Order: sequence, then structure tokens, then C-alpha cells
Amino acid sequence: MTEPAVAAVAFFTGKDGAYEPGLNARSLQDGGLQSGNALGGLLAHTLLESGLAENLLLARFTVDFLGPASTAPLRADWRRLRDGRRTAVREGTLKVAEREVARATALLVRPGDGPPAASFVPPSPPPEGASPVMPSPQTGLEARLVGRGAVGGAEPTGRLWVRQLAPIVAGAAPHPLVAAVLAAGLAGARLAGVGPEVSSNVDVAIHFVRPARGAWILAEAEALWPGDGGGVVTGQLSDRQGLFAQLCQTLAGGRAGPTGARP
Amino acid sequence: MRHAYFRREGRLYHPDRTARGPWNPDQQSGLAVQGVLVHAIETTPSAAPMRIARLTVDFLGAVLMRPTEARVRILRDGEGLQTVEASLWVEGEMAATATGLRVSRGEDPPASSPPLSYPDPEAAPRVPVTKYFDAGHPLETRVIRKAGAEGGPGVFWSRFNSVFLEGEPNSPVTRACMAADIASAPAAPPALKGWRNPNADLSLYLAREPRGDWLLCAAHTDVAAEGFAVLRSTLADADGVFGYGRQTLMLSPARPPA
Repeated sequence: MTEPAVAAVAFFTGKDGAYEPGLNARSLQDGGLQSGNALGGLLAHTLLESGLAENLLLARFTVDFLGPASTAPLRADWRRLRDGRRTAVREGTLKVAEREVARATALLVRPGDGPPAASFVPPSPPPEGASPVMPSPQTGLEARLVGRGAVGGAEPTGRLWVRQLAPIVAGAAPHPLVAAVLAAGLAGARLAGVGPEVSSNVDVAIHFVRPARGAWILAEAEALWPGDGGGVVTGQLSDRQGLFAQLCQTLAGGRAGPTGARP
Repeated sequence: MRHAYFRREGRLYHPDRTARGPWNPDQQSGLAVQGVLVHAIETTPSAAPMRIARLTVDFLGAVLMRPTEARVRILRDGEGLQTVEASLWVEGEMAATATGLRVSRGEDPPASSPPLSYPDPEAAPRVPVTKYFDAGHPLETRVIRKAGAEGGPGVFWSRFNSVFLEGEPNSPVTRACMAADIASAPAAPPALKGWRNPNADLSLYLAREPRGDWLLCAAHTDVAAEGFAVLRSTLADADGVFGYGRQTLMLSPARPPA
């Protein structure tokens, strides 16, 4: 019997109401910490598991990372902030021991009548036409680079196809929300061409037009860095049928510049 | 002389009639609610001089024209970053909440931002974004263009000609909120004709603080399939782009005039 590939091992394993991080949940920069990407994905998963998003569509998902998270088990908690006729607001937290390490707010909407939805052009090239990137077998994601962005350059937008390989929690079925949050985590400073001295795991916000469809997600990112202690990465997420969400991340500290770092 | 939107006594903000919303005289406007949340976050003590880099506001219900208490909780605190949660309470009920991510101000001189090639506000026609903002409203607006069938953005300048909080200078971030908040009308594409589109939230992403009195907003609406839409705006001043706004718009059929 052979060991399963690391890429297919779940990010977390649920045990006694907590989530134990596995190899794929570890930060690529510091193996003693959990990655922000994994924390965001776990928040999305636990929102779904809480039952507080049933029969609702997610319109906005905003995650704040509140400090380093060691590789100790996490506990998740979601609560209602609003249950209105058309909208609902939820707040979720992840804690290591008693310390809050990440927090999310979710704006959910009840499906209703509306005018015809906007249509978007399918992105090109498809993932089959992009170059495979293997930043580490630990990510639990497959990535294919279309091109890296350059701050202030002729092509400022970085583009990367991403596919979730490992379940976020052992035994959990794939879900487009979790896949979108994991992909959004890669649409940050590095993809936009900002240097590694800039902190990009501060937050991530995703504004959905519709749920993702299919396994492959194209993450696009571009940085605005005017140099006042921070900057912004804006981008969008598309599937094979076109755009389904917009995203923003805050950049903090350091100077922007070209980078050879992998996303 | 114009009245300030609010007078503050400790954690209590007393609204003036100028803080009223356009739909119900007993409720505060979104502009007013956001401004109080911004003030509460910006006045939270921090280890170093900081500015708001991201603001996420969720409206939880009607905010009545009553004394409004702002409560803050620091979620993350450091010399480089601070995350602050602010909530507004009226008569014991939480009516709105916001998360503010603050970053320490950089020591480097601000670099240039990409410019937007639209006419200066002085050259723009004196056309307000809606009748509500016509002559007399403290938020002066000048529409350069409205969103059209070809998919271009709605573009307008705005300038706040009043005082938000009695005895205090207006916050640049509050003025950015105002510009982003009112973008839905000029950014409404023809497909939204006959649909109301109030916003359920507001997110601001600021690469720097805005400069000068006039702020430009170029906004585009993406209609989703299930009765809501996402409004994305680019915010600029005379020096160029300084940030972005995002709103979730809830669509409902407009009532025919009585």
C-alpha cells in the first residue's frame, strides 16, 4: 500500500470539535505556522457547516488575519449578526487555545427576482494553456501560471489558474466557496509583482457575483502602491465561464518592487 | 451656516437633522452612519500614527435619529497594524458594525498614483448624482457621465461642504466613504431601470488617504443573477487613484409613483 500524495491530504482533520492542521495547512514561509490561505478556507468551510448559510447566497466574504497561528488545533465559531428579509450577516472566528487568530464576516442574500445578470467573457488562455507551477507539495492546490504582474509595468496584472486538490477538512466534499477562498489567497502581493518584504496576509475580501462553477479558478491580481504605509491588491476570480467574484487585499509595510517569489 | 451632522458627548453621537436619510426622516443616512464608525475607529488609541487601509461596514438595520453610542474593540494591535471592530448602538440595539484595518503611516514620501483622465471638477457640469443631492445638500456632486449601455462607468466628482462632527475637522476617509456610498445612481446601467438598489454594505480599500476637497468616483455595476448586484468603484483625487470601493446592492422593483 502506498502513502497518498501529500497534495491530496486534507488541510485539516476534525477531532473533538477542533481542527488539527496537516502539512497542507502550514505556511510556506514558516513551517511552524499555519497559512492564511488555509485559515480562510477553514472559515469558509465552517460557515457552511454551521448551517447559518443555508438557502442563502454569499455576496461578500471578508477575512481578517489577527496574528500568527501556531500549528495547534483550531476551534471555529460562527454567530448571527443580522437575519433580515433580504440579507443576513454572520461573523466567524478561529481560535488557537483562547487566542483569536482569524475572523470573518459574511454578507448573505436571499435569492430574489432581478434583472438579467451581467455576462462575462470566458478567460483565455484556459488552464491547459498555462504553465504548471509547483511552489511546494504542501499547498494542496495545483497552480498554473499565465503571467506575473509588474507594479507600474506595462502588464500590471498577474494571472494564475488554481485548482483545489486536497479537501479542506478530511472527508469534506468539495465546495465552490472553499475553492474560491483558497484561490483568492493566491491572488495577492506576489502574483501582482510586489516584493516579499510587503505583508500580504493581512486580510482578503471577496465580492461574489455568483458561485464558482467547475474545479479550475483563474485568480488575477494587480497592486496599487502609492507608498503611504500600505497599498491595495485588487483582482478578480473567474471560472471557465467568466468572472464570478472580485477581490481586494491590503498590503502593509515595505516598498513595492518586482519579485521573483512564487505566489 | 450649516449644522454639523453630529455633536459628540463621550461615546454618544447626537445627530442633527442633516444626518437624516433620504427615505425616512426618523432614520440616519448611510453617510451619517459610516462617518460615525470611521470616527470611532480613527480615534482608537494606537501604538503609532495610523490610517485606515480597509473599512468594511455592514448595516444591520435602521439607525434611528437618536443618540448613537459607538463601541470599539481592538482585535489586533501592533506598531505596524491594528484591527478595530466598531459598532453603533441605538436604544440598546446594535444597528451597524464595521471593521477597520489600520496601517502605520509610511515614512516615504507618497509616490504618484495612476491618473484618471476625466475633466477637473471646475470644468464638470453642475449636475448632481440624484435630485436628493441637488442644490442645498452639503455633499455637492458633479456628474461627468452616467453608466451607459456600452458598459462604461458612471463618473462624478463630490465635495463635502459642511462639518461632519461639531468642533472637529472632517476625516478624509469619511469623505471617501461619502463618494463611494452614493455611486449606485450614476453607475446604474440601463438594465437596472425600474429597480431600486439600496446597498447592504460598503467596503473601502485605501492605498492612501485622499487629498484635497474634490474626490472623483468612477463606478461600475455588475448585476448578479439572484436579485443583487456588486458595485465596484475607483476613487481618485487630483493626484490620481487612491483606493477602491465595493458595495452589495439589493435589487427590488421600484414602486410606481403614487
